[in-house]
Amino acid sequence: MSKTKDETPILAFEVGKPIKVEAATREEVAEKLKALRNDAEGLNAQGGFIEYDGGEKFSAVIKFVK
Amino acid sequence: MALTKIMGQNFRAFVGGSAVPEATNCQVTIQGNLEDSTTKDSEGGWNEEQMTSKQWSVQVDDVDASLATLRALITRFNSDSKTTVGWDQTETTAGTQNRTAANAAFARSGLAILNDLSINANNRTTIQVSCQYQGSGALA
Repeated sequence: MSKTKDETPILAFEVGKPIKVEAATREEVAEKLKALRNDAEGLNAQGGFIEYDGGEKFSAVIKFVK
Repeated sequence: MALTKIMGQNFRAFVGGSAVPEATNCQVTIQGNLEDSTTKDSEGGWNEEQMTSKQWSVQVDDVDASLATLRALITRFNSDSKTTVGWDQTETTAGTQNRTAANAAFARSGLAILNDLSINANNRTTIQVSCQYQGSGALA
């Protein structure tokens, strides 16, 4: 997580906006979710359930709120 | 944060990416169908089995008994459509009502069809709606 000079974290996502994560394996999606949760320290997560589409794709939608 | 022991209230069914709201119970069944493959060569008098097919289902009891939910469930039933269904351990964060998926390593999901919808209406109590999703394809 990058920080500015005044130590305000620069998030790779917008607070309150759903973020969709996709990958070929459940583990990859889990890793990406974990990274997002780390970046969003102090925020509350919503969603985050990993869905399997029955084919070759796993995805999850997570949202962080204050 | 994932707990070592999973409490029932934190084991929640997810349909279409969201935890099923207001349910009081959910049940997951994963079953393998076996075929007896015992032959004269089998040793020790023991049967031998082989897995011929697998199936899974998720049942959720006492879902939100609102008219909107009931309408949506009947529409889904009539559509024969496949929906993403699964489960996860949840955690409570502010404003999420224990609906935040929290244990990706434990969760599983797949496509499923709503094949059983029951409505129980006793006198002077809120109706109870239960539904079962039968897996169609792999649970992963």
